[in-house]
Amino acid sequence: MTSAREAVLGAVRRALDKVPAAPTAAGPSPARPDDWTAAERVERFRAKLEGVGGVVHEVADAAAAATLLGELRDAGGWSEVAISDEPLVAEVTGGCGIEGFDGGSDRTRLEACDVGVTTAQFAVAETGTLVLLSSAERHRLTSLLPPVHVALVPLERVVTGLGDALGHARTAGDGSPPPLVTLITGPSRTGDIELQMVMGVHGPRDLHVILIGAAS
Amino acid sequence: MKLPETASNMAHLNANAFGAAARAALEDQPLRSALAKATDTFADRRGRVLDEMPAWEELRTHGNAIKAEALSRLDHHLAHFVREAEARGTKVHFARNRAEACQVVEGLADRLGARTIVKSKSMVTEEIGLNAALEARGLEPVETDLGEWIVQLAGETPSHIIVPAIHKSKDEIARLFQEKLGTDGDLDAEELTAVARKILRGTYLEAELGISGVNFAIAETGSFLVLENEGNARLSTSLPRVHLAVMGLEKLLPRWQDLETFLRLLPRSGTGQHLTSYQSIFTGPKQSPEDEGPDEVHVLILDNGRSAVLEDDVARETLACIRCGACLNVCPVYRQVGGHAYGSVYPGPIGAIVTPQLVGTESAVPLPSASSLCGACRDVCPVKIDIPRILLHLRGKVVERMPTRAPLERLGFRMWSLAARSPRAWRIATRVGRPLARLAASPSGVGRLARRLVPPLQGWTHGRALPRAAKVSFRERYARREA
Repeated sequence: MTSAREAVLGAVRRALDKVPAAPTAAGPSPARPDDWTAAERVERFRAKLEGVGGVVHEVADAAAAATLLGELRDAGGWSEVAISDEPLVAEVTGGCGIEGFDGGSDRTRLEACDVGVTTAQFAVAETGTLVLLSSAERHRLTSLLPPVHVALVPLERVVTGLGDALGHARTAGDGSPPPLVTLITGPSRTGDIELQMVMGVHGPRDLHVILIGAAS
Repeated sequence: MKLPETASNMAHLNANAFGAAARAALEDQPLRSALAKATDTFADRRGRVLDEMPAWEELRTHGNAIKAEALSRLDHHLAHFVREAEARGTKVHFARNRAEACQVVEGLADRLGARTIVKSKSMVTEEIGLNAALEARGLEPVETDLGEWIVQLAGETPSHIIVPAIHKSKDEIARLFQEKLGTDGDLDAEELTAVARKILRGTYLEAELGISGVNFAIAETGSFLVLENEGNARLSTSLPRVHLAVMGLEKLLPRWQDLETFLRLLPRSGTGQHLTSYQSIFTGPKQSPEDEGPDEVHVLILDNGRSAVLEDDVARETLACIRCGACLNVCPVYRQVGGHAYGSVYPGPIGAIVTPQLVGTESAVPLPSASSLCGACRDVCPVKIDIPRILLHLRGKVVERMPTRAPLERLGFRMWSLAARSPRAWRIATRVGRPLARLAASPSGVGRLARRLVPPLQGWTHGRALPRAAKVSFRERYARREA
C-alpha cells in the first residue's frame, strides 16, 4: 500500500503533467512605501496604530520611559506586572520600582498578572504593527495572557514597511525564520456578535507602545 | 439519484436542497436583515480601506500571478515545503480524503492522551467534520473563535466565512448562553464576550493539543501563517504542548517574500482592515533556549478532491482562493439567502464553484446555477478568480454528466434551435407562438392557469410579471412599411 504522502504528491504530479509552468512572479510587492524619514515613520506608526485602538507614547530615553510606565501603573492600578527577559524591560520597570514577574512556566501566575511588559524587535510605520521574534526575546506569553500589553520600542527599531520587517525576520533564527514571528496591530478584537466591536476578547484589551528616543 | 463517491468528501453536505433552503431563507425576515447589515458593512469597510490603496489593481495582478505560478508547479512547491518544514523539526502528514485526515488527528490525540483540544477557526476542519469525529471518540474539541464557539454551543454550522454566527442576533446568543451556561438572559455584546473569555481561558490552559488552520504556507522556508483578530489562534498555538495545523494542499506560496502582497490583499478584502490584529508565522517547534510554545508542531496536508481540480485548465484557478469572503458580501444571491442555504461548508459564489468540484457535480447540481452571473464576485476577488466563467463551465459539466436532467428545458431549446436555423421556420414559429405567449401573460383565467402549471413559467413568474408580447412583430411592421 502506498503512503498517503506518495499518493497525494503523485496525484498532484500527474494532474499537472501536461500543464505548462506559469512564469515566476518573484519580486517585490507592489504598493511598497518609499523610504520615510524618522519623523515620518513615527507619525505614520502613531496614526495607523491609534486608528485601530492602540496608544502610542513618545519619550526621550529609558528613564523617561520608566516615569511614564510608573504613571500608567498608578492610573491603571496594576499590582502584578509580567516582564520579558529583555534588559531594556528590566531597566524600565526597575526604574519605576516595579518588581516584574519573569516566569513563563508558571502560567497560572502569569494569567493573573495585570499587565505584560515586553519590547518588539521591529515596529512597522506603514501599518502600525509590532513585530515580535521568538528567537530574540521571551515574550510569547507575556505579550498575550495579561489584559494589558506594554511594548517598549527604541526608535531605531521603527522601520518603514512591512517588507522591511519581514525581510529581517526571514533570517533572524540562524538564517531561517525563528519558530514564531508575531505581528501585532492593535488590541484583541471581535465583531462576532452583531458586528459590534468588542476589545480584549481573548488577548490584551489595551495596547500601549512607548517609543523611546523620540526627539521630544 | 446515485451520488458519486466524492459526495462523502464533505461533512453536512446538503447542496442539492439549495432550492428549498433558499426559499425558506427568503421567508426568514430576521435572517435577511442580519445578512443585509453584515454584507453592507463589510462591503463599505472594504471600499473605504481600498480608497487608501491606489496600487490595488497591481496588488491583485501580483497576487494572481503568484497563485498561478504556485498552482502550475504545486508538486514541486509541496515537495519543497515538506523538505524545509521537516528540516526545521515540523512533522508533516498527508491525507487523501476526509477519513484519512480525521484518522491522523485521532492518532495524534491518542498518542498524547489528549482529552481537551482547542481549535482556532479553520474551514478545512469543518470540511472534514473533524469535531464530530473527535467527539465520537470521547474527545472534547472546543472552538475558540467567538463566532465559532457560539455556533458550536448552539449545535449549528457557520454561515459566513468571516463571521460564522452572522445568522444569530445578540438576544438569541444571550438566551443561548443562559440555557447552556446559566448566565443572565439579557447580557449585552461586551458581557457575552467577557463570559466567553473567562470560560475559554481555562480551556486553553488544560488542553493538550491545539489545532489551527493555515492561511498561507511558504515553500522555501517550510513556514505557515495564521491571521486573526481575537488572539484565540495565538493562545491555541502557544499554550498546549502540541500544535497541529490543518491545510488544503492549495495553500502554498513559493516564497517568503510573497507574504507581503497577500498580507495587503487578504485583510482588506475580508474585513476591510489594513491588517488584522494578529498574524502568527510558524516555523517549527521552539528552539533552545526558548522555553515557551509547543514542543511539537505538526502540519496535515489534505487533498480531498483538490488534486483533480488541478487538471482542469478552466477551473484550476478555483484553488487560488484565499477565503477572504469578499465575494459573499457582494453576491446578490448570498445577500438574500445567506450561507446555510448552500448546504456546504463553502457558501456564496466561491462555494458555488468549490463545492461541486470537491464533492462531484451530481452532489451539488443547483449550485453552479445559484448565480445571476452579474460578475460582482470576479470584480472584488483579490486574486482575480473568474468565478462566472467557472460557474458556466460547471453548468456545462452538469449537463454533460446528467443527460436526462430537465427534459422540458432540453426540448424547448431543441425546438428553438430548429426554428432559429431557418427564417421561414422562425416566421411560422413566432406566428404560432405569439398568441400563446400573449395568452400566458394575460390576466385571464387561462393565463393564470398557464403561469401556475407550465414548468418554466412557474418558477420564473413566482416573483415577477411575465412581459406581454406585442400583437404585431417588428418584422411584420417593417415589411408593411416597405410595401
